[in-house]
Amino acid sequence: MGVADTAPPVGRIGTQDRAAGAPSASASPATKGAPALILEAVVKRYSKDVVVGPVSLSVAAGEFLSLLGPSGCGKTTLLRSIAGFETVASGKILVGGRDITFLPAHRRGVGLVFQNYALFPHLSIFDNIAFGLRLRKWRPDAIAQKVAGALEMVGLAGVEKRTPGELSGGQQQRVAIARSLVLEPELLLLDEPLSNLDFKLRVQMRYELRQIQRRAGMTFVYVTHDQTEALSLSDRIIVLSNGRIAQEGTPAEIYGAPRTRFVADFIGTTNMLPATIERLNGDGTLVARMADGPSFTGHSRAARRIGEAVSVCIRPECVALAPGDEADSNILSGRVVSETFCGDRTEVRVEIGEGQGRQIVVYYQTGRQPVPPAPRLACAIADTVILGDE
Amino acid sequence: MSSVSPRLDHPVKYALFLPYAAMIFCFLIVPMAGLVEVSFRQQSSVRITGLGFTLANYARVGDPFYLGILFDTLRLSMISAAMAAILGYPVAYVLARSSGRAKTVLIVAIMIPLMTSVVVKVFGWYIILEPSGVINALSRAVGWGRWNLLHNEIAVVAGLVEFSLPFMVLSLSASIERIPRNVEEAAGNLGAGPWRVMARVVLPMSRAGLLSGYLLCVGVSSSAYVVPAIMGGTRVRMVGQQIYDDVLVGFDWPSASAMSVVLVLILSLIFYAAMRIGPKAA
Repeated sequence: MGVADTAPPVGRIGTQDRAAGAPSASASPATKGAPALILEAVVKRYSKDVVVGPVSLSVAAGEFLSLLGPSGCGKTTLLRSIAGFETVASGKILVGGRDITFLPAHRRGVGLVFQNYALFPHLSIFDNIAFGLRLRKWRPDAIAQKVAGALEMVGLAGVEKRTPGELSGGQQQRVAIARSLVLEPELLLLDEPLSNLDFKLRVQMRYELRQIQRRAGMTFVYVTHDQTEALSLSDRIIVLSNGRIAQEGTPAEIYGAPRTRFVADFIGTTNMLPATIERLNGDGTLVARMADGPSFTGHSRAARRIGEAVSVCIRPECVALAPGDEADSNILSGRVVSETFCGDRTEVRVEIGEGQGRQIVVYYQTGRQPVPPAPRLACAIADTVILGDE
Repeated sequence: MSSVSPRLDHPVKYALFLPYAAMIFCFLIVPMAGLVEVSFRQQSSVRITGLGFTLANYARVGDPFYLGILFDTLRLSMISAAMAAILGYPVAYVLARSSGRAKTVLIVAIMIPLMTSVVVKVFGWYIILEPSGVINALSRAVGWGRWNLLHNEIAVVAGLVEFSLPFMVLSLSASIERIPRNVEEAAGNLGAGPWRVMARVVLPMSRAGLLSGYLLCVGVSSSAYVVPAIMGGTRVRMVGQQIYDDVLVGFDWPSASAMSVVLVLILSLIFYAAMRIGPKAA
């Protein structure tokens, strides 16, 4: 193949070489400084059922925001509402300060990249990318310049004359991104753009997407069900569940301090053990004890009462295994049930307690000392988050 | 899109064509060969299929009168196919983009004319257009006098359009259905309003369906007999009427055969050229 899926050279889509007097999809500079996107209590209904909302959120200019959630959580519906392909029942959508709630899709000036690329198969790559510029009546020489710049930006210079069918999936998706980028929208929406690619390409495109976003200085709203994608790409993540915001925060906050059981369970792998609040420490930590088991000291975002039933969340990489049979504060005693080698790590299943069949998963990084071969292991828990029913 | 149908690589798969091939051979290829044979014979009062050998039947096709009939046939067929495309495209789009009960109702509505006899449909037009028909009654009532609405080319084209419209709609809608909605949405997202999405995305992406619908309509119209015979009367003449008259009025089967062979050849040539040059289905 002539064009390899390699990292693109550094290039920037010029903003100064616009055709004179050409109308632009962008808003007037008067709205500078306003958030790129604001949703105010947006509600979407199908017949009578509320499928999304009310959702309120704000995205700063230049931010990379991910809408993360399982299928059916309403993330794509929300994205399509912003693009104008769904009508909202109530609420407001503002892009760069302009209210676009009731604008038809073709007048919103918001870019959208589809999961299945949605390129125009009857047009060359050049004509695909030039599509929006031609609608905006740009001069041919300015169009040629912009298209070349956009292709360079996504690392595909030289494919202008080909048709979409002649490109690989990864290349097609880059063309789709270039087709939207070339219009310099204030906001680019991406609907699971990498989910049709194979694993290796997906990981590489992840990195490149981030590079493209930084280089273009554009605001991205990225919909995905892949938590790894969201964690590695985003400045901020909004986790959606049943059409509502379950939690929002930086990737580290979402991963390290999930606010609900749903978020803890959905993001990464979590061991959740039932326990009861035993003591509230003055420094913000609290102690929870498993039924006839050890106690854990952990953090809770919400206020807790003594005696409240809670879940203790333990990330698999926060557990250290050592030979021994002690069960102490923050230490579980257990027996190895299975070891699964996964390349960069080994997933160890440990049955804790005596015969209750409760298991936890522990990640053991390859390259560190092997899992101790002792019959019983002490599992020292480094960090826990304590969650209630909220 | 990955294929879900089982792949037949075994030679036995060709056996699946046998019944159809046999039927086409017995009832199309063999009679056509007979037609070609008859077209080279001299008309005879002894044998209806003629005697001897002659090229005179083909020479007659070259006569300006008969060439004119062929030309008019193709001209009227092409005009009515174009009209069918214009009238049928919006319907085909709506049909392609509908689903569930609405789609069923639409398909039935489009199929009903196909299941109705051409004679019935044409007499429907006749009742409306004839000198004492509905339109003329209205015209006289408002003082516009009586008009001769039948036996002209417009009447023939109207009949042919109605006759061939379902073929156009079904062919187009199959083609439009294959255009992903996402592609239309992508065009809208890039700033194209509904009309531009139509002109720049849907229309070019359904060219193959448009071409096959057009050829189908030209095919069925150019061999039409009932429509030109009733709607055109003696003033508009198409090949079908000429062949009919040769066979049943002039008892000249050889001449009728030559005319038929020429019509088949011309249509085949047009179809072949259009398929070669025209857009291919994706």
